[in-house]
Amino acid sequence: MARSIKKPGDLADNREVRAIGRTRGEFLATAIAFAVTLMFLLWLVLHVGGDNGVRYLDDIVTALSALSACVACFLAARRESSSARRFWVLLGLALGAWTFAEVIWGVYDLVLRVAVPVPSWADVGYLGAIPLAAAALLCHPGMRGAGNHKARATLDGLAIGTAGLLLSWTFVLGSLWRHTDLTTAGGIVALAYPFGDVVIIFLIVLSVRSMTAAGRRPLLWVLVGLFAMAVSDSTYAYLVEAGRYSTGNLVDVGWVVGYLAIAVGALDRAGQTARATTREPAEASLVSLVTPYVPILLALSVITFELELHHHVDRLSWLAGFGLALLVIARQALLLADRRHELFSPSDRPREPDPKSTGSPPQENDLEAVLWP
Amino acid sequence: MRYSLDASETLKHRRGVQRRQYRTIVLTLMMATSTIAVFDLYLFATSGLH
Repeated sequence: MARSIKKPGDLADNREVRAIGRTRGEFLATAIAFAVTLMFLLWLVLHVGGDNGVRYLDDIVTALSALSACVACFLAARRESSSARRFWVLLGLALGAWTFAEVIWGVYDLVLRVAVPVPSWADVGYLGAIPLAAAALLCHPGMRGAGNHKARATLDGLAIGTAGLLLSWTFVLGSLWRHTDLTTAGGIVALAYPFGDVVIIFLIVLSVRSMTAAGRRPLLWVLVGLFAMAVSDSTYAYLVEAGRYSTGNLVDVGWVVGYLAIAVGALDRAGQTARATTREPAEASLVSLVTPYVPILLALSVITFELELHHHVDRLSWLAGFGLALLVIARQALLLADRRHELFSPSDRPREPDPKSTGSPPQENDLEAVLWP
Repeated sequence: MRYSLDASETLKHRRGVQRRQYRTIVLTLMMATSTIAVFDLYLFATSGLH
């Protein structure tokens, strides 16, 4: 309606109207996502309709959530250009694979009424989605913002990856590794899930690390979604290994939250693009500064407790913990060396925006923006 | 007292305050991480020697 009042050719005003329209749409999408998640959670907690009712609701809502996220990603891809389009297309393909897997799961569970075998076609979808989601995150424009301190960025990546592996090994992967028969296809598939989750969480933290204020919100929704799914996935693997999983378990809420968060992020994307085209330098965000420290601090604390309480620390935990402590110290030493170098040669300090980053706002490396005022 | 800050000065002031807060948080996290890492290395060294 409002669009018809505007004069043709008034580009700035048209963009503003589109942004307002999208803001309302984004609000509606977020409200629907919250309402569906809350309803799903309450249904599972109250066990409405008994085992059968819970099973039907669980399988149908999960599949529909995945489908809605898939459609939203492809809609976002249509509005974007170049690398951002590649990100949404790959994410859309990943969600297509997840939707396929959820439908196959539903067919086994609701139509054939048998326990889903491992491995099955559902595993093809679930596991096929992981490399697609990882490729999408690697394609995101924000992942190129390593800045001028590539050595420190590499150390950060190694430390975050080691911390993720150590945490997963301590809580899920280690136990699965010891109790799984790796000579069977089912055993290998069961182990592939937590390994894939470690890779996804590693890429999530790297994405958050290079994220700046401009265009942050849609990516944050996507990352929250992928994180919820990765946590649910690992918890599911643990519960299956312990023989305590059945359809309708509360862990299933994580997948619904994940799919719907990605859908909201994809619908949010268009409004952010219009606002992110200014040439103002992007400010560091607190989330991007704090997030990389979270897995590292958690992993270091876990290994401290294990060593202090004289728990048995297996070889992989020992190596990962020792390597992580060395990486952290090397990284901080490199930071001090960089600081010393910049203090004594201020003319070498590149403060100009990268000329290659045309079309997107110039970005400052988050940590430099804060520590190098 | 009257303040005659224009929009760009206000923005600059806000960014300065925000950066100082962020710097405190980042430095605290860095100190905590380094301390635990050094302590872990000490524990690894002592547990490895026994």
